[in-house]
Amino acid sequence: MPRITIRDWPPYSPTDQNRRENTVAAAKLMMNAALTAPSIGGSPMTEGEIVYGEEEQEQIARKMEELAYENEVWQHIFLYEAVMARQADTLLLLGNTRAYSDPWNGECGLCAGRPDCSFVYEQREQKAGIIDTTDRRSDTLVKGPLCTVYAHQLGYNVGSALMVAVHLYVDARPFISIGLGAQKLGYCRNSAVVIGIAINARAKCEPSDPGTDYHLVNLDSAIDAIRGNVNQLTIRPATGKEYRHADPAKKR
Amino acid sequence: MPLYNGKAFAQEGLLQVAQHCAQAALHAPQLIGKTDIKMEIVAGDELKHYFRVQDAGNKLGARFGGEGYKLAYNMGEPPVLLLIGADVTPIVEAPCKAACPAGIDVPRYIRLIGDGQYDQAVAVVREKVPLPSICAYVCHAPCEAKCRRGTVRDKPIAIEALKRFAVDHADKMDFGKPAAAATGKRVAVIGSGPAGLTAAYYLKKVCGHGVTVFEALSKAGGMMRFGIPEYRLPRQILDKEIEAIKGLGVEIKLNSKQESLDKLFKQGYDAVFVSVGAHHDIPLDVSSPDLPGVMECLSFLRRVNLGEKIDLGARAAVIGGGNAALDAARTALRLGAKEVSVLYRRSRADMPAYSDNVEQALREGVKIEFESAVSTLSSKKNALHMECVRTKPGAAGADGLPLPEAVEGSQFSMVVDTLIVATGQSPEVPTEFGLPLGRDNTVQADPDTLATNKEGVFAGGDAVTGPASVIEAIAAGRKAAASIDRFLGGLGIVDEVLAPPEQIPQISPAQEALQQADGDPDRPQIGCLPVEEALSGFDKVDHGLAEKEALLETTRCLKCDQVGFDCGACGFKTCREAVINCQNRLNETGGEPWGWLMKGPSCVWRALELGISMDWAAAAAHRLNVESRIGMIPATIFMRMGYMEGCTLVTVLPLGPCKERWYFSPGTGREAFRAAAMERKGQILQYPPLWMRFTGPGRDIGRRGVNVKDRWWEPPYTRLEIVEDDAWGNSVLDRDYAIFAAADDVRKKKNWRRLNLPKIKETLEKKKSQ
Repeated sequence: MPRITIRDWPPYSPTDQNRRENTVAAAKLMMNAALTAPSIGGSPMTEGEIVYGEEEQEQIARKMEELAYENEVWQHIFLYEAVMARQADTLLLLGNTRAYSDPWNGECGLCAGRPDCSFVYEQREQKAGIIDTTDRRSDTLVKGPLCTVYAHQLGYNVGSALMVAVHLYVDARPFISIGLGAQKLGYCRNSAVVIGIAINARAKCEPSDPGTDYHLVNLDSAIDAIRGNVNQLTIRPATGKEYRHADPAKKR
Repeated sequence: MPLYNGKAFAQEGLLQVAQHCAQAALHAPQLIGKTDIKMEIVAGDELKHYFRVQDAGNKLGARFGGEGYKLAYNMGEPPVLLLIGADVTPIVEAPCKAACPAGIDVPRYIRLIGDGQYDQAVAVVREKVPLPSICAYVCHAPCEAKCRRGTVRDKPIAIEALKRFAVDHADKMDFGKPAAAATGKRVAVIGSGPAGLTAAYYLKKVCGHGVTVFEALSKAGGMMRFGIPEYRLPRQILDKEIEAIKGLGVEIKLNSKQESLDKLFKQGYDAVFVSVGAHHDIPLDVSSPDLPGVMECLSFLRRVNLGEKIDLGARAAVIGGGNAALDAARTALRLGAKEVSVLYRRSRADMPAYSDNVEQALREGVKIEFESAVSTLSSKKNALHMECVRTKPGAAGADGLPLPEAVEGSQFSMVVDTLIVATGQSPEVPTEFGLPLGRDNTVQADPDTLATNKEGVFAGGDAVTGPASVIEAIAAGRKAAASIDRFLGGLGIVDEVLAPPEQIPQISPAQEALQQADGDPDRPQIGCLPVEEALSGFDKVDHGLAEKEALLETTRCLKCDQVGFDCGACGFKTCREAVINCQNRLNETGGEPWGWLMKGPSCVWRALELGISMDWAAAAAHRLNVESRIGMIPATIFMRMGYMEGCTLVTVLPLGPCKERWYFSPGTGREAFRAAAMERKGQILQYPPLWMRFTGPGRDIGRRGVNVKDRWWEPPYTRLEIVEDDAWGNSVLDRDYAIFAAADDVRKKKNWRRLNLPKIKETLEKKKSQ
């Protein structure tokens, strides 16, 4: 039997979905822009996925919340950014497929290793320069070292996607945490470095202007709190005078 | 309308485009918001240096197949280049260290105190400050204001008290011998205050120049001796540190006021550092200030510090709100005045005096009248009658602070025996020096190099900034020493490594103290002499920390220099490990990050964030229909030449009409390997043959030093030559050195900070022999 989820409160009502689906169209155009961004060496290395849907976004948000409790340093950030992933209209994930397995070989030294990328190769199982990517165990949040130049390259992709968001007048903000959470769940599975972009089309862009302790006090929790105090919202008989009678500005 | 006339017209427009691109890069979205984007625009003749440096690299086995080298030849003219870069090293920056004007590694010496290594803790301070004890006694501790323990949790670490504890308990504070060989150059330093002594120390000890310090007064120390009272800075501390500097071979000539810089040059000095301080009192702005009983603050303090006994009467007043005013008030109490009032025209929040000094003054009984000013002054019956008025904040003045306005009907009067005027100090620079003077008689000098408009003359400290703190003067002395050394043909590197690498003990004395303590330690209250005892003489007022207090206090440190995002993406488990790696590299070359091309280790997220900005800049050029492409390798040459100081990852965005093909056909970045004949035939080798990619550990053969003169891409691949691993490595090292040397030549011409070539050479040779 298919899974049937029932909610009595409708953020995903048909009219709300119309709005959200437009951001999916924007996300698709942003993805194209990411693919046509300047590319180091002209090599293809960008991977992208669009995540849309209450259930899918909820999974990513929960994964982020799970990761949050692994380290006190990023705990607070991951917690409030999880809310943003949950509340976003669409998530666009962009990753770089070469940063882990195929360093630039540009003698650059950005990773601090020797100019032959041996800093990366020496920490991987490899044969004849081909890195074995099947060992995915890691005791750090990201399995490093990654090729810094290719991480920098991902910046070009993300920048182009964001530039399109500007032109399309949708709100977008890049997140490390959303990328990490999604990657752990198997999105952009060929990439070692993933950035998640939360795309919104609302009057207020929460990701740009979050309040303090946003994981506790946010728009959804505020609405939910009001709905919880439903007794205060019921219509009660007016017992006093009609308010206009007491209006001091009104001269009789 | 201007005629469209080729290059000049195009270049002018392109400069505007470059600025537009720079704006776009600044406004790009950020990931973590901690990457400060830096940009520079390069155009015209500046670009010629680039080609020269690049040629030097190419001659010595530059085997880049990369776009960078091809781009260099394809840039055509006149391209305008926008350099965009940032420091993308992992961040584990302690706010206290960043707040210190001299850049002392505060968390490190706190840790060493906790480990019981007091000598090493002082050595860490001495790496940046040649007057560690003075700094420990009188520093106003801007580090404490930024301490993260104070900003996010409870109270800041008592950093100043810990530093004093370390200098009081260190066994050895040996300054050693001059490290550098004598250069034969001579430098005259005018003024023996903190800036002058610091510059003298570095110029003598680290740079090897002969230094003579000229002091106008009878004792050395400048404002430290004649401005700061003994109860804040005991004189034996001051004398000890000045003696240590003299012990290095610095000559200090007392009672020798200098009137002419030209005379000094005629005497054979090659450079002069003017650090005369700000010893001139700015007079009181009321009618008849020259009445008996009115004194100028600095001359009063100077007389007291020279041992003169001054009778102030029973009632004294001080006008002013700076440290000098409070020092005068507290000194007046010690000289026997019964009532001392300070009149300050603004509120306590605006008071420039250090809060510690204000609190001590209040504790000792000084009465401070905030928002009060003197309107008239008269002398009757051997007493001074002051008509005063209350003030309120008015419109903002030139310095941004509100100018005080008199409150109507708030007049009050005071009768005192002595009035000390401390309304400000300014430098007293002889007009014969011929130096340009600015506001309040301060010397105008380049803020980066401290050079004045007179060749060979540098100025720093209070003489340039107006009255400031000792630590700021020390920082200016360091900066001046580096600039003067560069001017005299040196490298301008004054950094010293005095503390050995840290070793973490099994259990530190601080941890032991913490185990024995009851509960979590709180910021200690520093004990002071009872007021009566304090006022009976000029002894140091506060006792400093006891050993147990100091050890416990070190455990409150949040170790901001060790905690980062710690994601592991860079290959190091913690950001701290990455930073240590980075520091080791800096030590290898004496300051210049070890460069293959760029400077690692890098935080991948910050590198990514820079990529977003770079992309927005390129997109801006695209929108303006100006051709551009992002380049990485040319940018590394600009970094070597001294552009984009402080950046570790730089990219270049050449802008301009496309003479050559900037936009390559999709390729691998290995276009330089592509033979011209192949291009003519229309054959494009997109990737090296598959079998080549499989050869060699970790990298394709094409990069490993294939001799490109052999047409290795042609079957049957018999003439393929592979340079041995070691030889290849050495060739890269030689090429790097060639680039460094050529880039240093450019820096020399531009009078920019020089590279430490001897150290780089030494490291290279070591690497080759490994």
